[in-house]
Amino acid sequence: MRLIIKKTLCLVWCIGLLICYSCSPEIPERFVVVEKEPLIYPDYIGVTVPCNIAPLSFRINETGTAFVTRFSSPDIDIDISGKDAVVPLKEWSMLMNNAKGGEITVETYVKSDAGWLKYTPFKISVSADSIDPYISYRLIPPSYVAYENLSICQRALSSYDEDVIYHNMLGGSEPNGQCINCHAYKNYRTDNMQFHVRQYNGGTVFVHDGEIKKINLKTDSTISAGVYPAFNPKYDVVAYSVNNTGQIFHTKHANKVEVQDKASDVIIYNPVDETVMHVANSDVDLEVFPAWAPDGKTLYYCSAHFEKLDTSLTAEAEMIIRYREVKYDILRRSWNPETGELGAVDTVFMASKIGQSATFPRISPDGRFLLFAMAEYGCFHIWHRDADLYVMDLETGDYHALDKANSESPESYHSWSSNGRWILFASRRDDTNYSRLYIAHIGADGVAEKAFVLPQKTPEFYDFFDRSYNVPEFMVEPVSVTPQEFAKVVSGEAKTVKYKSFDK
Amino acid sequence: MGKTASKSRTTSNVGFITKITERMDKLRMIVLLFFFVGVWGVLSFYENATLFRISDLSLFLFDEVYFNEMLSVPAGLLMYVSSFFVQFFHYPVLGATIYIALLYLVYRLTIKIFEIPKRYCLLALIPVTALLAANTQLGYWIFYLKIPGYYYVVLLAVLAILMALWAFKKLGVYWRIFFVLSWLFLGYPLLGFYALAGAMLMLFLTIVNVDSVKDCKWAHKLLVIITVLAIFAVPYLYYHIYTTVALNNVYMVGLPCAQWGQEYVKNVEHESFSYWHWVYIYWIPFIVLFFSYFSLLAAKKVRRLLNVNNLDIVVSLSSVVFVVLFLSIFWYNDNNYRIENKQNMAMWNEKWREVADFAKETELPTRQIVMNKNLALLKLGVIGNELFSYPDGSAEILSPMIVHLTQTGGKMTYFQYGKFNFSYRWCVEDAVEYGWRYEYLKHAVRSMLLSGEYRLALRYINILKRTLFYRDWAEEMEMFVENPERIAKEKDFYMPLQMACYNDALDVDESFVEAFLTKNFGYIPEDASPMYIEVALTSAMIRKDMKSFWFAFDKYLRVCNPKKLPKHYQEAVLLFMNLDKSNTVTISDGFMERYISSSIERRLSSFVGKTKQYKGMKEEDMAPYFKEYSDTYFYFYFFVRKIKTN
Repeated sequence: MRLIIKKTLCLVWCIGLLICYSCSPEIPERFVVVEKEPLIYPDYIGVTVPCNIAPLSFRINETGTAFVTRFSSPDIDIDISGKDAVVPLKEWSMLMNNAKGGEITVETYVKSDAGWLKYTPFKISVSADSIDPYISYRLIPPSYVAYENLSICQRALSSYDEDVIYHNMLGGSEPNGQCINCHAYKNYRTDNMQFHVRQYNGGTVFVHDGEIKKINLKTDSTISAGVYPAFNPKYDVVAYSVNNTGQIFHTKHANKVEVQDKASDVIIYNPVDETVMHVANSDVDLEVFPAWAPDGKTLYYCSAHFEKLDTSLTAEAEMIIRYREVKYDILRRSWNPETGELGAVDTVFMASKIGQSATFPRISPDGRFLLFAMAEYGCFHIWHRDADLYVMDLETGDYHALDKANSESPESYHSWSSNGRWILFASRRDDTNYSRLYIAHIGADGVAEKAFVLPQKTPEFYDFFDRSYNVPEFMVEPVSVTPQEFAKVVSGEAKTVKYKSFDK
Repeated sequence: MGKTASKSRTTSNVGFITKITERMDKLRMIVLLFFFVGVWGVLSFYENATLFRISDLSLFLFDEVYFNEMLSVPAGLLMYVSSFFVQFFHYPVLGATIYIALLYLVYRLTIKIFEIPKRYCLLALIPVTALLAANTQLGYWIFYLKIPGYYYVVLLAVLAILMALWAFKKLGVYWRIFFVLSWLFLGYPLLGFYALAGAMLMLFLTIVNVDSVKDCKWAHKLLVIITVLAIFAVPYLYYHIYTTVALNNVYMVGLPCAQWGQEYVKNVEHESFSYWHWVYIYWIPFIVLFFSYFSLLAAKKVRRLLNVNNLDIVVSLSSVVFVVLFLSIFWYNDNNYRIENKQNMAMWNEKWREVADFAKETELPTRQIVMNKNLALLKLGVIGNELFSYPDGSAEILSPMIVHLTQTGGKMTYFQYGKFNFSYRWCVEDAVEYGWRYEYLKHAVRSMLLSGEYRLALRYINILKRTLFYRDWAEEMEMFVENPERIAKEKDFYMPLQMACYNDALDVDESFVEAFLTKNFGYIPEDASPMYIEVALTSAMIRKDMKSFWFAFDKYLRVCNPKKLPKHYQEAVLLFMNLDKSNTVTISDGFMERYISSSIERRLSSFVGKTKQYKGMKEEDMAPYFKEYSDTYFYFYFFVRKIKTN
């Protein structure tokens, strides 16, 4: 009996080995060299990646009956068979550690009717600059007015693991829907963070030193509750824009929709005494998108001057007609953390002077660079085909487009990694409508390398995933509050903040 | 002698009873055959356009991302499998055959599991009828329900419950504890509410059987307690695992609770009475379904009653009456709804004459029917001659919620009138609310293809290539992406491209397709195509806007240079000339001779003459006396009033 078992085990082992052997890909000995790089999706050819990124899975979009891909670092070769080149996580980590500061070479072999073809190998640079371990983003269908099934998620960058931070279906359902947006963190950490819940049980869910609360930032003196947030990295305040926003649709243009602020101001919220005060609230200026300098003593924001000219029209109607005239500049004001006083307005970048509109200012962690999105007009550049990312050197005032990272489609919603060596942004370049997250290395000189899409386990994931990624943020740690804990807070009452006059 | 007579009487009685019994058995078989074949026939041939629409308003993809998305909510697997089956309604006969086969399976399982004696078999038609009615009652809900694959969800859930119940019955009491816990823990993520419903039936079965169990009464009690606790605890536990369902919905996942409630329809006002306006009516088939199964279990308690003479005949007759009555009440039989679906099917098949002809099958059409008909007439090039030859009006929609054209046909209408961004916009907006559906994907492909946004079109083409029945269609569309020069040559795209001759502007339709288009066609761009001008012209006539009419008519004459003026345009010219008391319009010499037929002039004269007879009467009271003119613009202008668009 024991002999039979032993023999059977031996047979199984041999069959297993045989299967493994027959499955392991073999680099063809004979092939014809094709003088071009293979077509792959996502496009990872010539990108620079951090050493702690998840495997870059891709599909070979060449015609063939068999496919073999070799990933080579100085000491390691990994061969993968199949149209989808998916390297297992463990082997990928070894490969990346081996190639750190150097390159990975990727050779692609495709079996055609005429035999094996070898395409020109391409390189992936592996930067020694690591990237923050987590990012968070909102997943939203690329819709206009309707909303349902929205989630704010966090993703580990060294793997494909994704968790929900909060899902709007946890706190609302038909007909009492919720829109959730604008998650933000203080200093890349999650013990001070926030996101907004709109409509049903609306309010701002605010985590203050680990304690969760729901606040209502709308006061009688402000035009709305808080919208675009910016945590002060050093002091216990958060800047918000307050906006009266509307949407209107292009009957023909590929931009499809215009999201316009009919009015907007900037406020500062103090979570300790639960007060808000205005930073900027001119009637003829639209102030929005606050961002703090790393020292916490300068507040950047955008402002568009828009004066009503036609008395026969409502302000709303006039803005719809003159929508191309709304152009935002980037301004800043110093802020005294002791007294809360604000300094004079300083124009950092007058985009309107060159017929452009600059939005979403983000200052690099070292304080040297200003990253912003720019397009011909308006504030909501994620819907503007001409929107690109730019960097300004705050020391010299020079600015340049991030040509290697940009595309013909919109780029916006950008953020810096905590070490300032990576930028993360949303781009609609894949199909012009669904925004995906792209990461680009940015050098000490402020020049960005070619961007790569956030890797997914299945190469064709983005072809079928029907939601857009927006507002991506880097994090050095994951959010530990569970979605259900957030839901409990959301279902409770919001505490309304008090308005504090600037003069007082 | 007497004894013999008595014996022979008894024998003849037995023979008679046997005969009756045999006849009743045959009758029952005939009833069953009639029911299943009849329903199959009605679904396949009478409701075929509705079934096609139901399949087009669903989606099933052979794709991992789609599968994972479906499974991210409780009852996800049920919805996934249901969506798989719904796609077969693309071919209504095939879809109906599968559907009826599964309904029959429910019937057979009901008989077997509930141990229904053969002579009472028609009782098993009651849950089957309720299942059927849960679908046939839907009407306009097919556009709005948010449960993917709804048409099969309840049916498949009932099948799963019946099989679980069958397994449960086979087990001893200890195994039953294990089974019910497994059923709930494994079943809840896959079936949602239906796993709880199944557990409730198991619980009820345990309770009604407890008297017959001599031993292990305490084990039965334990089973009851554990089942009750698990029914409450399991969904709560899963609430902490799933992130896609609110705590107050966790016990109802898989049911359209959020939509079939007063909150969903609270701001809706109805003009007339119909029981279809009452939102809670839609729960009745569900209630009947579950109560019928509970009753069949409870019937065990009254088994002795089954031996009462002729009870089987009463039960059989009652069952038949119930089935007929119930289905006649819960079969949404609105003619306009059916016409809309038939028009939709014909539009996708590019059978525009049929689209127009279907509009004649009602006396008072919905705006969707009228818009589809107008579109068809334009496509056929006969709008100027036929526009007012069809019934017109704005019939109220029989549904508890507000039904907008954006959901029922707006995407097609926008596409055909060259408003590609708006067609696409509503695909995306509705995909957010109801999930992507074949219909939305097809419109998205065509709209973006004709907008020149090939990469975006390709995205949706690639999705459709993963479907069972739209792969060929997608490949056909892919050819246009690869050869964009072929788009302009494609016959089906001629009208949309002709209509897309306007400049971009910022605008919003507020969900009112007809009002938006009518307003839009009040403006004629400089380089408008002849077709656009004709639409603007007819639009002015429909709006009864004399000023716009003359402006569009002037353009029409100059750009289209017609040899002969279509009938309705002649009628409009004559009518507006008559109404233009201040002579703001100058007619050139020879125009009347060249373009206006004397017969139409005579018809207007007789119409005007007749109006004088009824002077002083209200227009709505006069209308019946003018039916002979109902194919003229004069009639439309004076008597078709109070049109409400949705």
